[in-house]
This record gives sequence, structure tokens and C-alpha cells, in this order.
Amino acid sequence: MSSLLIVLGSIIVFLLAYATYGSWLAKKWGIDINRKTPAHVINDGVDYVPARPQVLLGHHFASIAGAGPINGPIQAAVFGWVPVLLWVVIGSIFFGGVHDFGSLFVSIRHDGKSIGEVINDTMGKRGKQLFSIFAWLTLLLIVSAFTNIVANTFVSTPQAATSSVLFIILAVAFGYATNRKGVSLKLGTIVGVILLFLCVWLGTIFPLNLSLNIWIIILAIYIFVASTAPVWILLQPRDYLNSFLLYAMMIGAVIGIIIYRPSIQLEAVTGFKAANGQYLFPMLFVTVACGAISGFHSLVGSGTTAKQLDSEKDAKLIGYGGMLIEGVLAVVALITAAYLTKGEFSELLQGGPVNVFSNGIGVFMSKFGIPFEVGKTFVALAVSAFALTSLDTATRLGRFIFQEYFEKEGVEKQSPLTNKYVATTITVVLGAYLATGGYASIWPIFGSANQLLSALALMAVALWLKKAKKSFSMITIPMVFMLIVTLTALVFLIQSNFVNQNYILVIFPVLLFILAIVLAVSGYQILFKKEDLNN
Amino acid sequence: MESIKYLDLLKSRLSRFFDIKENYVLDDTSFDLMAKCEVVSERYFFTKGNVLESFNTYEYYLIKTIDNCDLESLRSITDKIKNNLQEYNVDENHMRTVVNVVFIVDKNVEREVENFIKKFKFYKSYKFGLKGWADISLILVNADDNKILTNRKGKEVVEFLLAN
Repeated sequence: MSSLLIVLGSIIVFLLAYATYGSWLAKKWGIDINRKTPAHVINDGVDYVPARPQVLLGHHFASIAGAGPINGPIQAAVFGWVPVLLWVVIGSIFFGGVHDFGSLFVSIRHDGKSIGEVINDTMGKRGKQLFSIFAWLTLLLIVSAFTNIVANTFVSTPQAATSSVLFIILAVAFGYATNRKGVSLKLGTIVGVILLFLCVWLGTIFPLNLSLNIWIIILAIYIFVASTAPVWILLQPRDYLNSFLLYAMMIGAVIGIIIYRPSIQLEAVTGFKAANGQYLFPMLFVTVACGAISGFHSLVGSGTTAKQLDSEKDAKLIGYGGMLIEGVLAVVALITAAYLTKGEFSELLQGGPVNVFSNGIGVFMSKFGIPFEVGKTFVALAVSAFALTSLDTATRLGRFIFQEYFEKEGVEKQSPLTNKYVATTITVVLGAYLATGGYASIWPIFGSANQLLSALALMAVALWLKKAKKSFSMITIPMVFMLIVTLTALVFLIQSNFVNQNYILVIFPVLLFILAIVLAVSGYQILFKKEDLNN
Repeated sequence: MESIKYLDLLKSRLSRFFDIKENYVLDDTSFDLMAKCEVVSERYFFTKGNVLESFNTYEYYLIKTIDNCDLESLRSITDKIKNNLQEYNVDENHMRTVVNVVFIVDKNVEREVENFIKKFKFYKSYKFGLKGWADISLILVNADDNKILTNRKGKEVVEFLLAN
């Protein structure tokens, strides 16, 4: 089967879903084009400013798209490409899209406040404490999974390691030139992007060969510095340049697939039980993770999207459309695995999912004249850059939650655990230690935590819809399904890690399981029993 | 336009985004107007209480009308501002402070004053740049013919200061 057919077919299905199901959701929820959005009602000239929908979609997509939708589908391809494709397409349309669109809609009807604030108001003190522990554990998983993925990428593609180091230096210099030396953003961007591609080329000439554990240590030091240094020194300029990498990579990948049209060689379905011993249900749904639905979409971000929406009608394009575009990225990622034979796929996967992805896109781009090595290095650099963004955001957040948990109100002398550097060190060291265990065992737990978050966000949307006396039937199935998937996956993960005597990785799923049960019970009580929602 | 009218014009423009103090005294130098704008930029998680990252930028306007603008008095005033910035206590999330010093005159100034303004340069980095930096924009506005003279940094605010 031609991969071009799969990509084009998926895009057509997504477009149809956008025009039909997306419009139906908008109608059911009562999207009102005449109703003023918070950007118009509050319009403070700072946070609340109406923005053009195309600009806002670009900003929103750059915030939600990262290494997640690339790693998940490739990792899940061990179950065969058909179940992954079906879950990416169905999941994006009926689960992830509803989740993102619903979260955005509820947010604009709440003066632009984030969905987190809606949840926060309903949880109570104990719930919040429980949630803090859950969030910190999830963030540790993100730190460990992404540290391992980046380290693996640098080992399998040492050219990308050199490029990434040069890219970090370039980002600091770019920030210095535009912030302090008064170089205009336009000129800075042109020079910056040219130098960015020079970094890729230099990487191919001077590859940096180091072992996996050395890279894990270097990355741990890097994320410590990146998450404690002022944001305008590295993170801001790096994230700005990252967006150009994302767009160039997506354009290159799509053009490459159109020209090359590779045939699918991987098995369509490998059976209910994969070679790694995992069962298709529920592991497929937690492994694909952000490629179909992601709880973090509604929680992480600058909180700008809802505040800048010009009209309620734009919520469909940005919330629902944004998730469908991420679905396209997930399909492209899947193709890079599916066009390989089983043997080639297994061999490349040993270097991590980014190795599979960068190899595939490198081959596709070589069909329109980009040398394979340059293309592969470029893609590995791009995905590593997204993973590094996730890494230092997760570390910053983990540190913050850790500090807050040990802070006592009204006490002058606080515990050393509330110190910024102590909290960061604990988070980074534990994350790096877990990373040495390999991403394959950590990724499904991260996926479960992420899916549990999505169930939580869906519950908040359903709660709001019920309060507003609107139908929440379209939320019920995704919410219940994600809870069942999470609970079952966690049982499997507890069992397998226990059997493998990996006791540290038993703690995570046990705590997530307890939280999932607490959420399921409280969600049921709130949504399906007759009680006054204002109490 | 007269100096006073031009001052009123700036006051009305600045009042939208700046906190304004009239007859402000810095050390022993009085300014007709001091305007301050503090911008806090932050990214948060879950709720606004959970700030992931934050940085603050400050912009000040120190505006003074001068009848006789000579080099000595100009140098004395700018030295005082420079000293203040040398000892400036920056906050935890400080990124940038810009002080726009605006002198308003009604007549042409001497060549040496023009040269002083054009060549004026001040840049101070705090704790090797980890705590941000401060710049001074030096601007001379001739309210009579609406001619504006600035140092290099001051060019960024020329458009804002134009009378028309």
C-alpha cells in the first residue's frame, strides 16, 4: 500500500471530520459568533488582545506539538501500523479533538481562565495535594523519558549531537543580539535561520561520539542550568528558533512523501500480543499518547489562546483543527516506521523512536535533493530540540510543585526542600537515574499519566456543560474509555514491573492507579447523580 | 509648540501605560515628569498561581524642561542617573531596565551639547547579565521646531516622541 494514500486519506478524513463532527460539536455547545470573547470584553492591551485566527493557530500548534506525537506512534508500531493509524485518526477526531476544543470553549466562557483553574475550583485541599504528588511523579517520568530519548538520539545520530550543542550556542547569541544589541527581529531571524542550517551542516562534518550514560549526565547538567537560568537567556530565543525547525521539518516531510511515495512494508497487525509481551489493549492507547489525545494540551501553555480568540467561531479552527493537524504529524511519524521492513524497523528502533523518524524523513527528503545525512541530522536536531523544550519545562514545573508542596504558610524559616536549587537537583537527579533504565519501560507510564490527565480535563468540560445545561454525551465515551484504558494499563504495568523486580517503576503506576480510582468515583458522583453542582 | 504644551502632550500619551509622578526629584535634580512602566511576563501551568517562568522589564521616562541647556548641567544630570543605575537593586526576575531621559528646550543648543547627546552611551550588566541589564536613552527635543536629537539607544523611541 502506498504511504501517500494513507497520508492523503487521513487528511481527507480529518477535513471531513472538521466540517461535520467539528461543526456538530460547535452547534451542540452553542458556539455563538455574536458573543464577545474575553479578548474583546477585557482587552487590556497586554494578555487579552484579539488575534487573527491563522496567527493564533500557528502559536497554539507550536505550543502543543512536540516530540510526543512523533515518539508515540513509532513506538506503538510494534502492534502493526493499522491499529496505530486507526487510533490516531479516530482518537484525534473523537477524543483528542473533543478534548482540546472543549477545553478551549470552556476557557473562553470562563473569562479566558485555563481549564486548570476550573478543575482547581472543584478539587478541594486533599484533592489538590494528591494532584501535586501525581503531577510531580508524571513530570519525573517526562524528564526521564525525554532525557533517554534525546541521549539515544545523540548516540545513534552523533551528527545531531554536534548540531544541538551548536544550536544552543546560537540561541544564546540570537537572544543576546536581539535583546541587548538592538538587532531587529527580522534581521536576527534571517541570520539566525541561516546559521541554524549551518549548525546542521557542521554537525555532519564533526559528529560528537559519546556513550549513552555520558549523554544522560550532560543532559542532566544542561536541564539543571536551563531550568534555573533566566528564561530570556536561552529558553525564549531557542523556542523562537525551534518554531522554524518545526515548520521546515513538516514541509520537508510532506513534500518528501509526495515525491517518494514509499510503499508500506511493516506488518498491518502483529496480533493482540506484541513481540515485547505487551497487549494491544490497553497498551496501544497509552503508547500512542499525544498522537491521539493529550491531557497536557489543556494544561500546559502560556494560557494565551483563550485570551486572544477574536471570535467564538475561531475556537473550532484552533482547538479542534489544531489537534487534527497534530494527528497528521502523528500519521507522518507512523509512515517513517511503516515503510520499513520488520527487521529494519527493529534495528532502527534500538536507537530510539527519533532515530526511526529522522532516518525516514531523511530518506524522504533525499528524493528532492537534500543529502540523506544532512536531512537526517536536521530532523534529529529538530525532534531533539522539541524534546529539550519539554525537558526543561517539565523540570521547571517539577521544581515548582516540589517547592510548593513543602512550603508552609506563615512560617519564616522554610525547609531546605523549598530551595529552588535543592528542588531542581532532586528532580533532575531522580529523572536522570530513571532515564538510565531505558525509555521503553518509562514511556507507557508517562502515556498513562498523560491519558489520565486528559480524562480529568474531559471531566471538567463535562462538568461545565452539565452546569450550563448543555449535552455532554460526546464527552462521556472518551472520558470513560480513557479511564478504563488508564486503569487497565496501570494494572499491566504494575504487574510487569513487579515481575521484572523493577520496584521503583511499580510505585508510579500504583499512585496513578489510586488517583484514577479517586477521580472515577468523584467524577461519577458529580456527573451522574442528582445533586446541586453549586455545592 | 511651546515646551509646556509638548510636556502635556507627552503626559497624556504616557498616562495610558505608565504610572506618572509630576515634579519628581532624583538626588537634588528635579524633573517635570517621571513615568514608570513595569511589565511582568510569565508562563504558568494549571492555574495562574503556578508560574513556570517569569521576567520583568521596566521602562522609565525622566522628562525635564530646560531654559539654558549647557553641557555642564547635562553632564551633571546624566552622571547622577548613571550612578543610580550602578547601584540599582534589581529584583529576582529582572531582565531589562530602560531609562529614557528627555530634555525639552525651546531653542537650538550648542554643537558640543549635540555631540554629547549623540555620543552618549550607557550600558550596565547586573551579575554578569544573569540579573539582566540597564540602558539609558538620551533625548533632546526642541519643542519649537519639533527636532529630536538622540543617542543611538534613543532612536527606538523617536517615533513616540514626535509631536505630530
